[in-house]
Amino acid sequence: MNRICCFICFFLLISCVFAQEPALKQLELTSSPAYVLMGVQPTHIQRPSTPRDFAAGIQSGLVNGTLQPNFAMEVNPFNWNKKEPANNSHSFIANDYFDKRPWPAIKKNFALSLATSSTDSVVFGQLHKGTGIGYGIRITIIPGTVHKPTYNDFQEWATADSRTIFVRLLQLMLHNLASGADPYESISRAMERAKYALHERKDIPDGMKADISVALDLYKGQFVVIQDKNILLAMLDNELDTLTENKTMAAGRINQRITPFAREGFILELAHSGVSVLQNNAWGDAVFARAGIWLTPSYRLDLSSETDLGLVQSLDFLGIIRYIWNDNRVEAGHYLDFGVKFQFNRNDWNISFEGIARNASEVPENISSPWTYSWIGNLSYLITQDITLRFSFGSNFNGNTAAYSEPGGVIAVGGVNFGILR
Amino acid sequence: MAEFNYNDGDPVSIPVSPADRKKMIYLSSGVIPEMDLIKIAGYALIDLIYAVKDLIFEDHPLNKADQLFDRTIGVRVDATKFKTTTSHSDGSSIPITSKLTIKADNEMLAEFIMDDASHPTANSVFYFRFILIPSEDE
Repeated sequence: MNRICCFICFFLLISCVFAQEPALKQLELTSSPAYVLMGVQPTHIQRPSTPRDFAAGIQSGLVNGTLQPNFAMEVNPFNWNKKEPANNSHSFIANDYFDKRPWPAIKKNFALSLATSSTDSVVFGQLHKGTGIGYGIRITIIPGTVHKPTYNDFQEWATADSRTIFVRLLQLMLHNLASGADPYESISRAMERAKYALHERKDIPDGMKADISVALDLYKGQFVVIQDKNILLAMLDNELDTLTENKTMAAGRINQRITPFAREGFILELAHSGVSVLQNNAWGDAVFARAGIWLTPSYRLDLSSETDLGLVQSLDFLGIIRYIWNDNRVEAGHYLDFGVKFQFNRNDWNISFEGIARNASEVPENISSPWTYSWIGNLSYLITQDITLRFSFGSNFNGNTAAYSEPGGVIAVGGVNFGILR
Repeated sequence: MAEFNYNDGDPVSIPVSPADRKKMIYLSSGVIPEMDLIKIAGYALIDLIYAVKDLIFEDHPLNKADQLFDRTIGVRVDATKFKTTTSHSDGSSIPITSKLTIKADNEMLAEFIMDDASHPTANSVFYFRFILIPSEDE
């Protein structure tokens, strides 16, 4: 038992630095797709996530059997020209959070990255050792949906807020109404203005407005039968108390959640990456060594408790299908990967297990099967948004088909991830 | 919910000089949170003409100054806080500041500022009331 503890402590205390996505939180540093092609990434399947405007980090990976630092940075260029009037920068623009259409999601989740690492002589076959420089692109094609309880609370708030506008307008109109006059016309005009205000509002998502408009019509029904102005005014006062309580409660629940607007459900991400190797660290000996394209479908099942809003819990199911092209000096054939991953997230930590099967289009004569595999377990603990403690263990691919057999080499990488986020 | 009344709810008199009495009166409203953790939703209701505006708006025209003399003008800013980033903190407790500015064309007549720091909640309502009056040197 003591030996096991010492083993774990040893890896936790290694002062290597990482820059990978802890996956639970929506806005954290993700890993560059280029790391996967360079072979320095402990895990092969990453949950799609929203990129920061800018993120950079250092992680360690196994290169030629030893831990070496690697650097990556990621940006979303669509955010560079994002201009908001200075006074409106604190406004809640609802469509930014609730939109289900693909194009806004693509713009929001598009990420370009650059990564660099020492190259591994096994991963890159016959190429000389040197420096690898890779680029990566991530595009979220299907963005998932906002956390369902947040959606329901927000709709409750938006409905109560729109009804409040109707009640306030009606109160103002009734105060100016001659005593004894029929309030019906005031009710109709207040409703008209409340609906116009709803139509114009940016803090209520467009997709929610039709339902709220129907809710306003139903709400109006209880007032039109009352013909006495004073009775109506007293009723409106009571209504305001109820509406205010509804608004405060709904908004309060959203504010207490740790990740209120996290996406869940089905998310589909497309990634592409390419890596050049500068052999012997010389520009003249650069080779475009490897390129890949892959699809990552994922489904997040929310397991959070509605009685304890501070508890965030979810289960992710992920898959991957990836094609990797190799320069003939790296590898005679190309790879096709299929993989699955399960990840359980609870507040600041997550635990995951993934398995990947790889098929090579060509293998040397002494290799009996074109198939190999990799399996990796991972445990992460988020200390702050930019510092994550991580421990990965498992069995990785044996580099290339020259040593293509059952992977016997153990991968065990532990350390602390550091990132710079904006 | 927390309600805040500027000047304890009494309308503030704003003198308008003869040079400004034919100018258009414009209102602007802004709401600023103390931290980037939250964003603000809600609306402002200008009760003189029953206009519903965004919570944050600039240069909303009312009328010529002399057409508004001696009438109480109320602006009700109904602000709701929503936590939009990842945090253990309760976004409802983050204070916000609401500001109303009144201009005659481009000339500033008055600026009112209130915050909910004394009792921050998820939904804070700020009332501003004022009366435009002819200045005594007229």
